[in-house]
Amino acid sequence: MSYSRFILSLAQVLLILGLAPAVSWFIKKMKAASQNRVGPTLLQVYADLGKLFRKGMVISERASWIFHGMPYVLFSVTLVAASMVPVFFEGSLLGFMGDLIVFVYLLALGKFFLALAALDTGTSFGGMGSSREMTLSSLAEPALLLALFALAYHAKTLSLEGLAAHFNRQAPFRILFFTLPALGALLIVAIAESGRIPVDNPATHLELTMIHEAMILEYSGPYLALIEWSHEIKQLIFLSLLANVFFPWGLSNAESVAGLLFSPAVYLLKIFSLAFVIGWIEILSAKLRLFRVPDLLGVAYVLAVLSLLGQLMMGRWM
Amino acid sequence: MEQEWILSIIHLTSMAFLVTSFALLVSPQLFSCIRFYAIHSFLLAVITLSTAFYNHVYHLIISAVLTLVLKTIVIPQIFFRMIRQLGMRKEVETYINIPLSLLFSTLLVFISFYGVGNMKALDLLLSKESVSIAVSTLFLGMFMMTTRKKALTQVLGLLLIENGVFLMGVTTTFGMPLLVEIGIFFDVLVGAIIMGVFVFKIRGAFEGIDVDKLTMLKG
Amino acid sequence: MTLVHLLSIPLVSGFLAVISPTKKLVRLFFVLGALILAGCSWYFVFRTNAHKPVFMFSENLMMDALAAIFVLLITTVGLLSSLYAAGYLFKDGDLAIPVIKLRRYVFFFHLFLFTMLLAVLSNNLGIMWIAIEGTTLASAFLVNVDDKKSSIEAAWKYLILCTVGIALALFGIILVYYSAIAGALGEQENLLHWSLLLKKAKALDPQVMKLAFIFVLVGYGTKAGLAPFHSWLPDAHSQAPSPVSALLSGVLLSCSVFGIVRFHILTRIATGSGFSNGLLVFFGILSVAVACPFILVQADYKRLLAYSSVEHMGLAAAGIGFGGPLGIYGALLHIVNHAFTKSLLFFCSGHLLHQFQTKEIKGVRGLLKTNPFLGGIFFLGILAISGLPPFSIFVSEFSILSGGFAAKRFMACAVLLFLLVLIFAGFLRHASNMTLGTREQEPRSEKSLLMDSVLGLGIVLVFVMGFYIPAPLQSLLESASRIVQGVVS
Repeated sequence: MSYSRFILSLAQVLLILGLAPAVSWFIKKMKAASQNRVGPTLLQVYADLGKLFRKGMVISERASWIFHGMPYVLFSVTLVAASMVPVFFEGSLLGFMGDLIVFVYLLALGKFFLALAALDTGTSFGGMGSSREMTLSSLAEPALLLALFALAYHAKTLSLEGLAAHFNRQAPFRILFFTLPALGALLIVAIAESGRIPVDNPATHLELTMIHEAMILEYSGPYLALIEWSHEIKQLIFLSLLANVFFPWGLSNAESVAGLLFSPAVYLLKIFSLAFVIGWIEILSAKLRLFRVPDLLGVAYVLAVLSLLGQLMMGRWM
Repeated sequence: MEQEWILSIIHLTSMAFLVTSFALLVSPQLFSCIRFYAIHSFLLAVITLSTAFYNHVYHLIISAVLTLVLKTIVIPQIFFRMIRQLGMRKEVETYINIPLSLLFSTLLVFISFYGVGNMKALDLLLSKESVSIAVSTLFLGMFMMTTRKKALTQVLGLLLIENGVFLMGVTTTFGMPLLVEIGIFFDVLVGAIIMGVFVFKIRGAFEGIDVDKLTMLKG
Repeated sequence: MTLVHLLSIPLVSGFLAVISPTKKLVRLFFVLGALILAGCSWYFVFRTNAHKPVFMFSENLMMDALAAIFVLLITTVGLLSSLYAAGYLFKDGDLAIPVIKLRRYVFFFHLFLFTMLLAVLSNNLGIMWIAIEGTTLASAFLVNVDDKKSSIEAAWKYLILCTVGIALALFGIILVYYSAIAGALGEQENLLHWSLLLKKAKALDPQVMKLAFIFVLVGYGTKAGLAPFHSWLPDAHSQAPSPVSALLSGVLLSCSVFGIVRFHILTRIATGSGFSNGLLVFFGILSVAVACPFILVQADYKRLLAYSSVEHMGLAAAGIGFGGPLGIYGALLHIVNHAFTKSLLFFCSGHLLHQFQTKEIKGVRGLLKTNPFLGGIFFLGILAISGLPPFSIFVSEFSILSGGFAAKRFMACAVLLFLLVLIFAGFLRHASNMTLGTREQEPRSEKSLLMDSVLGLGIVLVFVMGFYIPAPLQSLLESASRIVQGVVS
């Protein structure tokens, strides 16, 4: 990889790391505005993270190496996944052919350790959170994989950067027939993976309604900071995927300097627009009962199936 | 270039049409079912308009306007008023749960895609996938009629079938002659009204519009 | 006197009945309208040379020999039904039906006649569809005259199932239209005209026509009561009042078969194969087979008659499917005979319901001793409908089966014969249970000359048609048969 591409890819990863809390801030601010509150400032979100890093930790005596290791595993896995996603230019740091599948399984690996660590301390909240999370991810992951496969079939490549590059080359505003359901599927999966309403309420601590929160209840201090940050990075990764595959205009291909200056701005615009949409969905809907979430994920699955097999049936339509 | 735009719009709205059919099928709430039907008919009107401009068949514009007025506005309003007057429960009970219905509907969609894909006679068509979507909507409507317990949702399934047949007409034959089209619209409207009247009667006689109870006549 | 005049008579009568203030006036317009309609149609059919089709309304309406038979059927049975209903529904006294309901009945009755006439007279396949859908909508209220729970359920099933079927038929019509456009057969507005399609049928794409015929068969077959789409039929025909049941059973089913036949003619020429014939025979035999057990084990005499309609429509479909001059002539004659016989039986059932106050077979006992006139006619009617000579149904069934043998479909005919014997046994059992034996209680009896005379006329007709078919009718049937065989004159 050439020197400039390397620098750019690194910059991409750093951007994701830095931007992740800001997206959460944006959605929190939206919700506050809709509830007639003021909400946190932008600095507040970063300051919270920093505060957590400086605090001490209280850890149960029963905790094993899994409990101690999980935040690191989760963070590194999410970081690697982040380096596979094209952000504002068409390449990525660790992108390679087939990284689409590795991407999904990296995230699954993180989730696996998260669920294990929740069980580690032996509290009932943790177990409950783990079982719920695993139920939902057993539905969300096939939907995610199928939706990505549907897009990959269209683009004839299995790498994420290849996907972005392919869709960037289609003429602007040309709306593709069979990738529209994939958009719907990925949107629903993004909501599920980010733990947003209607799947999971990120601001709740009621045992009836917690999924993600239940799993990290025992964590404090730097561990908690790492976990929260990983969660925000995962949210941003999904939004970047959505933005760069379905609305790829503005993705530079490292050829012109002007393009390079222009594309991060476009990227920020796209991300915050998507965050706006997700925030809007969060404001307008109520959290679904746990037994209703499989219905929603079933819809995502069906949309992904529709997208993929529809292409197989009717040929690669426009 | 403009033609390409219109074609893209047709493709986009056809896919949204299919997704809305699914949404209609899995909505657990009666109100959202009717709203999805209104969206469904609106998308149909958009497709009709686009086809009118693409193929320069201008009597389709009248059909599009009729669809817009009758099926997007009038018929949903009739249903909304009926729900309010009947005071019925607003959930839709089903014989098959939602994930299973989704899977089965997907199967139906693929049967129709496969069947239409195999018909070489339709290869001349501009948008053969719209025909498969029309057939899928037909099947989805029939599926909806058989697996929902409320009389009103049976009527919605029927209207879904009519929408699918109309889409078929628009994409294969650019609509029927105007006289026939107007007659068909009139029939659908009168049919919806008469079925509405009967839903009232069912409510009066059976205390609720659960078609489960309509099992007196057997043998 | 043109087709448009003919079609406007029921509309005018319906309108006049709605605005009539008194019961007597309503009744007058009711019967008078039906009488004028029947008279005009007979006059029109036999005055014009029905061997050449008559066109009107820029070729959207057409009456050829095939349509002429159905026009006669609709108007004649309509007249009989209105005469009977004039006595049955317009009674005075404690059983009187309010004038508002009567007005509604008469209005929808004439609307129903109008839509059926439009269906058989339209040359434009789209308008035919609209008319057939219109018949469903018009007759829904006729089924549900008494607002009882069971009749609401029956009307709902009827409405929903038939509308679904007809929507599928529309799909088939669109496919036919598409194949006509794709074949570039002419100006687009005229491509829905059946007469044009008949002339150019060879140019239609066979694969598309096959698919279209399947949809049309399923769609119109639902309205015709072919199994397995017949489930609405027993409910609707048994819950409707007797004059309406007569019309539904005798005429409406026939109109739907008419629709199927029009498409069958096109498909046969387009595909050049026996595809549609095979389908018709299959569904015909299926209908007879499905009706058979329900006839044998039946508790309600109106449902019995309804299942018998399923059986006879199946026979007619099988006759058309067998093809050839014998089969088709037999099928058309069968439709005519069935209309008269079944309406006669339904009129009898009206009497029965009134006298015995029950719809159950076991509630009717010793009919012959109680009311010899009714009992005799009813018994003879049942014998007629089950195919006993010398009644008319026997002749047509014989003709259909001969057509089947001529078409070398021996297996099908064997199955049909077996089923017909079973059905005959079932009917005989039920009829003898009802008519023979001693009477148990003194039933109510209210003499109505009008209703009785309708019964008398009916049985005479059924009897006479077994021996002698009037020459004009005969030639009409033969012309119609030629049309169905695809002989373009």
